[in-house]
Amino acid sequence: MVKRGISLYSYQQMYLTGKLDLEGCVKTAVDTGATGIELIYEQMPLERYPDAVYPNISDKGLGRWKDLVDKYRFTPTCMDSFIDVRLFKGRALYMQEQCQWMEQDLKLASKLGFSCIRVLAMVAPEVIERCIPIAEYYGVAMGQEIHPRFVLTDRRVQDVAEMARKHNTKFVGLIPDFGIFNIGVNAARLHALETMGESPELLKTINEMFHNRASFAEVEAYAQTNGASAKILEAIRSSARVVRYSEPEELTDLLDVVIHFHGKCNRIVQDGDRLYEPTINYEEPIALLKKAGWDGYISTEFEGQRHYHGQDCPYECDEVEQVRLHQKMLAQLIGA
Amino acid sequence: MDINQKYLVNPADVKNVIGRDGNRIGVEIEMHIPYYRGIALSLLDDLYVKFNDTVFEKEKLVLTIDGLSYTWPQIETVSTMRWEYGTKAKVFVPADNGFEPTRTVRVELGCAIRISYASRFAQPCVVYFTVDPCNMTTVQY
Repeated sequence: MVKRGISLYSYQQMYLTGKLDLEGCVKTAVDTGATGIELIYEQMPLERYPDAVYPNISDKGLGRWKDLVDKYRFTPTCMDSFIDVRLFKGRALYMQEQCQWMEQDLKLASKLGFSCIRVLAMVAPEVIERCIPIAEYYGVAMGQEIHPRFVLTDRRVQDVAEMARKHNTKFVGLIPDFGIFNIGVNAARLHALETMGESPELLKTINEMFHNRASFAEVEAYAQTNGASAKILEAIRSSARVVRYSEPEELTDLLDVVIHFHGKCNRIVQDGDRLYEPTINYEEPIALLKKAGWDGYISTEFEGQRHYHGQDCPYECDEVEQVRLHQKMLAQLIGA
Repeated sequence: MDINQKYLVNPADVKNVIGRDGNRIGVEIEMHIPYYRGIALSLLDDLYVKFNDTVFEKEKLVLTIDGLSYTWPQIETVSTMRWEYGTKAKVFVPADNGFEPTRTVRVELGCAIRISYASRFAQPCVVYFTVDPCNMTTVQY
């Protein structure tokens, strides 16, 4: 059964500006009806200096988390791991150091009751393979994120899937981010450009071209000949560097190893009763998951706020409302 | 598209620093991290401050987080202490006499982090603002 969760990452701006603390984020999330919580521990740690510093946690910090779980009755779904390979200037971490970092995240996730960690798409599959015994020891799965620029058919993605099958382990898997179903320049970026005074008609045409499967080069050429500003052209060019669209049906052959989803969303629009993400295909992938009987969580990962973080942008993004709408949209599509 | 750029520095958090001898020894700027999570301090790749046309490179600055102070290049080896998301760091800028109550000062601040999935060369998040020395507060060191 497809279940609804929320990554507290979605409330990053509320947290930074002091409007919501960790408990406030949890409460806001469960108030939407979501039953799963995903946490970036390095974003909202349970303790900080002079108490225990990540990756360490004391009994006091653990108690704080357990109290939240008991009070708000949620399932800890996924903890996001980073493994900063550029930790030191001038060298990349050795593979053994990366494995040690993976181990400390698996250990922390296990203490907090998460069933999986999100492994960044950049982490080498060799690191994951070497950590399988550790993941099994802690009982926490390593899910490598499939995040743009990766698409479902990439060799790297297929290799991790094969690795999971070869070892016959449920402790290796994949975590697709719905960003792989994004078409063109994302909806929040388009909206931010509009709020900054760019032509709504031109932005609308650009979005329509992308939906009609025009290439980035074709859209850029059109924009250029139709008086697009430097900001619009930069949005097209920078999106072209990372955005690649995956066909939803390509999920089918990977579902045996998909353990979780990031419900990436940048802007949710309400049109009467209809709720939709203007540039991310949610309808087809979710229909496919339901048909296949896939069991797991989709975590809302709202990321639209960053497009309004420019010093010159007066618009304040309402994360709480956007997440609420995304959950409502998921509930409609899942039918629960 | 710089994460948290508009929240990085509140211009009201720029203060003249009074030393123990009573003289103005510099300026303190409080800042948030230009990222969506906390990091080990060694991941800080660059920090600089510019007052009008005068640049203060990272080697001249003192960064204070959670009451602990760090300088360059020593901070590049600090992998177990962190700059947490939501914690304001204090940047001490050794500008002689701080800001004199004359004309306004154009401030530029840039901070770069080595993010594992970003481009090979860390790009700084840069903010620009103006400070009026006639409306500044002070802080005693």
